[in-house]
Order: sequence, then structure tokens, then C-alpha cells
Amino acid sequence: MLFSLLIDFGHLTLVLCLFSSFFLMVLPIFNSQFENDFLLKTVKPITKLSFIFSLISFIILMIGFIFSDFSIDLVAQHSHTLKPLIYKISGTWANHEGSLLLWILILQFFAFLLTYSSVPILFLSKVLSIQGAVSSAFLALCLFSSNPFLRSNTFPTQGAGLNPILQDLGLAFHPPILYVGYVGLSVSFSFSIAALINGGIDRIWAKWVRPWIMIAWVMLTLGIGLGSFWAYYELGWGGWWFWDPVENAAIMPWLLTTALIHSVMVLENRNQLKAWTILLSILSFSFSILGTFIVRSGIITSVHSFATDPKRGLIILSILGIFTIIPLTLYVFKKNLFNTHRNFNIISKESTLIINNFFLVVSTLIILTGTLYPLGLEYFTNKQITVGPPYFISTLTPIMLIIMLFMGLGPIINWRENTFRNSILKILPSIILSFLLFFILIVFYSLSFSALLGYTFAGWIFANVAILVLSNTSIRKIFIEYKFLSSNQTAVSLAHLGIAVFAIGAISDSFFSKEVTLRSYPGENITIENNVLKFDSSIQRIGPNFISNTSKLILYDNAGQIKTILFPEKRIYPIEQQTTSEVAIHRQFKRDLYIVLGDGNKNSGYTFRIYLKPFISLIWIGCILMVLGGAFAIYPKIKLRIKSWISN
Amino acid sequence: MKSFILYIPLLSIILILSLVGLIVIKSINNVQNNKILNSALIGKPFPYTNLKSLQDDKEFNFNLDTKEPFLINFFSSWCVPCQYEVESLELLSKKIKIYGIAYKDKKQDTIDFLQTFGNPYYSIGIDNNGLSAIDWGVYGVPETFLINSQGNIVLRHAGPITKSIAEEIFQTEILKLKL
Repeated sequence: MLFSLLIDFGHLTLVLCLFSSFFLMVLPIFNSQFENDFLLKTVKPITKLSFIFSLISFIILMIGFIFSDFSIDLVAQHSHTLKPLIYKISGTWANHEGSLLLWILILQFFAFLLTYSSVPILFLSKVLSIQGAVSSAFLALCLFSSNPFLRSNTFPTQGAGLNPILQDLGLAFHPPILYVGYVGLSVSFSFSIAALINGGIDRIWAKWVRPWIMIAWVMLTLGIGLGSFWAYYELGWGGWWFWDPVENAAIMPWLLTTALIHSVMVLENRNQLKAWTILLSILSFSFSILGTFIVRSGIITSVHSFATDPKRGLIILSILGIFTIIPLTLYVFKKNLFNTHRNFNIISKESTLIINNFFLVVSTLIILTGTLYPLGLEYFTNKQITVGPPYFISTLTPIMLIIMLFMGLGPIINWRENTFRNSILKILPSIILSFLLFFILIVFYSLSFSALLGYTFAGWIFANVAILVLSNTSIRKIFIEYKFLSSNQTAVSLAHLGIAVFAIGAISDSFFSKEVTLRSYPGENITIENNVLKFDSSIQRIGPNFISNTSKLILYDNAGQIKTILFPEKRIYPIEQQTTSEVAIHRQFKRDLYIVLGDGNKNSGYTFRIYLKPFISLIWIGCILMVLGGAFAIYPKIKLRIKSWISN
Repeated sequence: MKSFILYIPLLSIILILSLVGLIVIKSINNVQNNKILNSALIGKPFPYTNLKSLQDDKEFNFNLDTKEPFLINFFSSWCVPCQYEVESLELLSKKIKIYGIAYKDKKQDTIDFLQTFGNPYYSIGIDNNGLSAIDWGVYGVPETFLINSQGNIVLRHAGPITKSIAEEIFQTEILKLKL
């Protein structure tokens, strides 16, 4: 009885959250009519209250999951009494309704954080009003079409959701992190709309909004990196990126946000690219909603489409329509806000940033085309096709190479004017080093043209980061003044280094990974390159509804010592005639040994698919470096805010 | 800035959204017209099902030797939509044998359910732990499969069978199979 009351209370706070969000949305309208100071004073408390409402609601739903309260329909459908606690907790957002509630909670949390920012209250109230509008739309969607607190009429004893595939830590935690990234983009979106309505797109505006974009970018990078890491070890397909629609839905906002970070830098330093920055802010958030839409509507078939309901898709699409068409119409009519004196010098930091911005947007459009094209074709001709890696790789590789070229240049070239002579002198060492690397690679390795360019440009980025670091620091500065680089320089260095490291990993994987399929009997030795594996034995195990074949493989080093024992596993679900693979991976910096067990028995031998993936760990090390870079850019601003908050 | 450039994002977004919208509306219509899920099992032999029978605790099996099409219906006493479809199932049971599989249910509850709402089933198997449902790839109860005389799955329907679905989809498909 008390429990039932608690659930109803969670439902109630969700409704209250809608009311308070709606109030925040309409407040500036009244305020501008009455110039009412009292109303303005209520903005921050109500934002906080609204966040607390959504937090209570989410926690109560989580309690419902933890205690397996099957009177909630959602819990009955998606949880199970026998689930481990951690998956009961993650079960809260592993379904459509719960994940929508999480989406709203994160949105409210960003609004909550905004109340502690240094932005003047008059402008902030407008930003929070747009946040309130987004919140209201999604809260309405949540309450009226995907209510997580709906009761079931019956009480199942154990619950229906014990899907073993969904019980995985990587799977449980990469979506919420990605969500923080998606939803974090709502802040720059709100700032842009507020500035379109209010005016004042200037350098101060850029200073306000930049850390928020950075937070979103860091979380997107982290979420995508974790997701790809999960796909690599769990799916057993030997790859880390599959150009799946849901992956595309995550990478598109990432590319746009990357562009946005750089264009807002131009705005902050040079008071230019106003229209472009506003456009990117609007589009990057629309692409986040599009991402949510793609995952939740199920119109695109994908390994990720767990929750498929086209009707909900239509509602999310309408929300997407409202939050893109209105801002973009506003964008057209407020064109006088964008007027700037343009005095661009071709050899300048801003021009490299603009070139890369252009190509980042082009690559987003290429991915969008590849993602939506099969849908359009099916609609008009009823033919079903999939657009796979060949399209994406062949179109994106040249663009990525161009981006890498200008990315190396950007950090060390100055703003405004540079003479050609000065700039060349500055980058001369890295040009020489890159050419040296280029010729070494040509002479000693037979590489394909794109791999050759890829490695060279990665080296070019390294060399330029080294120049940036060396020219801004010295032994004196480090040891006597205890000053290393400024936090911005550290951020740029780390993030760009991350891209270079990532690129080396990705190129090495796509050009040099080896795949061997072979048949072997227990007792035999398998040799791949200089790895000696002894196929020790094969064990059969019977699971609840599968039979598992597990092979024991012993990996020896050169001296004949046992390095590690690997257990690739194949699960056979005899009735569905389906099989799943549990991959065994031996990780080393230089290479991953990735073993997938295939069919087989004692008489005919066992098949193995063995991959040698050189330097694949660099892909994730690169992601970590990028995340660290982003964190360095945000850290001083957060520290400053906390200090001023404490002193008040 | 030339103002026509500013219109480009707006116009392209409207174009993209309307295309996606049309596709979504089409797929909603598909779902509403026939809630047939494209199961990976369609056209394939139905999975091996090893269950106890509700009537006599003996092994439950389909009368395969008669070589005639039949329906498989997953249901539960705790499932509310299952109550509503009993009527349409009784209608269909005049045309075709319907086997029921009681999904994650207590035996006594199933018996009570059949007494209260009616029993359209030729025979009923008990799937206590829901493993058979996994084999069949069941999305949720109620769910119904149509199997032809060769033992292949030809139709799958998730959700309750309303009168209109029974008349428009199942009856026509059954007629086709019996021809």
C-alpha cells in the first residue's frame, strides 16, 4: 500500500515537472510585458525545483525496478526477480519509457547546472525558457504516449525481462553516457534560440556557450568510444565500427559538435562566423533528436532497434520538426543579426578552422545520405538495400585526409594576419619531418596510397603538436615557474593527438589486420605470425537453453612459457538453429589476438577464425586522449564557477 | 550575407522531415493493417517444442501425422489482452485446430482462465519457464503463429487477435492453406 503510494507520487512529480517546465517556457513572455522583477527572481528556484521533481520521479521508478514492483507494467515487462541488482538498476533505462525519463532527467540536470552559470539573469531566463520548451515537449511525450508509471492489471510472479543478451556492463552504461552528450547539446541550442530572439550574438555569448558545447562533446566522444569497444568484444565480428544506422546517428552529432567547437572559437576570438555557429548549434541538437528518433522509431532496421513503435516515432518526429523548423525560420528572418565586417586573411587560424568546419559538415551530410537513402529507395520503389562500409569508407577517406591536413596546421598558426614567410618558418620542421616520414614509408613499406597519406598526416599532426608544446613551454617555465601549457593549449594538444593516435589505430586495423580461418584438432599447435597457440581441449557444457562448445587454447611466448590461456566459446541454441560467439581476446599494445570459435566436433576438427589486429588499442587510446583534451578545456571554467559559488 | 543561402537549411530540413514522415506514416499503416511481424522464422519449420500437456501431464505434441495446418497461440491467464481474443479464437477454432501454449503461468490459474473465458484450444502445453517462447521468438503474449501442412510457419501475429484481424487476415490465410 505504502509502495503503491510511492509509485503514484513518482507519477505526480512527473506531472509537476511538466507544469514547472511549462511555466519556465512561458515566463519570459509575461516578463517582457510587465517588466516584472519578481517573476525574474522565480526563474532559478523553479528550474531547480523542476529538476528535483524529475529526479524524484526517476529515483522512484528505479526503486520500482530494484524491488521488482510488478504492479508497474514497465517493470513487469522489462525486469525479472532473478536479475542481478546492477542490471535491475540499469533496467530502469534499458527500455523506451525509462530511457525517455532519463533523457528528461538529464535535460533538467543541464537546466539545473545553468542556474549556477555567470550568464545575466535576463538572458538566462530566455535560455531556460527554451530548455523549458524542450522539456515540456518531451515530458508531454513521456506522459501521454510512453508513461513509465502505468499500472498493469495483473501481477506476474517473476517478470518477463530476462534477456541474457541485454545483460552486459558495456551495454548498460554506454547509452546513458551518450544521452548526456545528446542532451548536453540542448544548452547550445537554447543559447542560440535565445540569442536569435533577443539579439546579441557576440564574443561574450560565445564565451558563455563554449564550455557547454565542450561538455556535450566530451560525453559524446566517451559514449561512442565505449559503444564501439562494446561492439568489438561482444559481437564477435572482428570489427569496431559497422556503419550501422544507430552508430551513424551518434557520429553525425559528434561531427557537427566538433565543427561547432571550432566555429564558436572563431566567434569568440574574431567575432565572425555568427550565422554559421548558430546554424551548427541548431543542427547538432536536431541531429541528437534524430538519433533518438532513429533508435526509438524502428523505421531503420538495425541491430540496435530494440524498441520499435512507429507511432512513437511519428511523435518524436513532430517534436524534431517543431524544434528545427521554428528555429530555422527564425534564423532566416533574423538575418540582420549576422552582419559582420569580414576581413579574412587566407593564411590564418580562422581559415583553417573554416575549411575543416566545411568538411566536417560535408562528411555529416554524406553519412546522412547513406543512412536515409535506403529508406527513400524502399519508399519509392519497394526495393530493400543496405548501404554498407564500402560507400562510407570510399567517400569519407579523402575528406578525413583533408581534415587531418588542416587540423595539423590550425593549432600553431596565429589568428588574423600572418605573412606567408612567418607561417612557413613556423611549420618548416613539421613539413620536413612529414616528408621524411613519407619517404621512409615509401621506401621501407609497401603501403596503399590512402594508408601512406593517413600515416603521414598522423605524423604531421604529431609534429605540429610537438611544435605547439615546445614553442609554448621551456625547462625554465616548467621547473622554476611550475607552468606548463595553458589549459587551452593542453586541451588542443591532447585532442589533436587523440585524433592522430586514433587514425593510426584505424588505418593499421583496416590495412594490416590479418584474418585466418582454419581447422584444428585438440592437441595440435596453431601458428599465426609468431604467436604459437596450443589447442588443448574442447569442453562441452549445457546451459539453460543452449549447448556451449568451449575451446581451451594456450598461448606460448617465444621462450615456450605459457603467456595466457584463452577460452573462445560458441553457444548453440539447437532449436532455433542459432549460434552466438563469445570471443576470446588477448590484448597487447602491439596487437590484439582475437579468436572466434566456429563449428566443429572431435572427428572433423574445430574451425577457428583468428584475427591479428595490429595497434587496434590505439583507437580507444585515441578516444581517451580526446576525452582528456575536452576535460582540460572545461576544467578551469568549472573550477572558477565553483570558487565563485563558494565565495558567495 | 545573401539571404537565399539562409533558406537552404530550412528547406532541406523540411524536405528530409517530410520524406521521413511519409515513411513513418506508411509503416504505421503497415502495422495497423496487419500486425504481422516479419519473423526470422517465417517460411521455416516450426521450432521443436517439448512441453507437458495441461490435460494429462503427458508429453504435449501437435498432431503431425494428420498433415493439416494448425494455429499456435501463446497466452497467459495474467495477460489481459488474452481474455479479449478468446472470442475470436473460438470463431477460428471452427475452421482450424488451435494449440495453446500457456506462457509462464500456474496450472490452476490457466484452468480457471479457461473456465471463465472459454476454451478455444484443441490441446494445451505448459511453458512454465518460458523457454519454448524463446525458441519461437515470442515478442509477448498473446502471440499467434499459423503453420501449414508441411510444418512451416507462414504467419505470425503479435498482440490480441481482434474480430477484424481474425476475419480479414487469418480466415483468408487459412482458406489459402486449405485449398
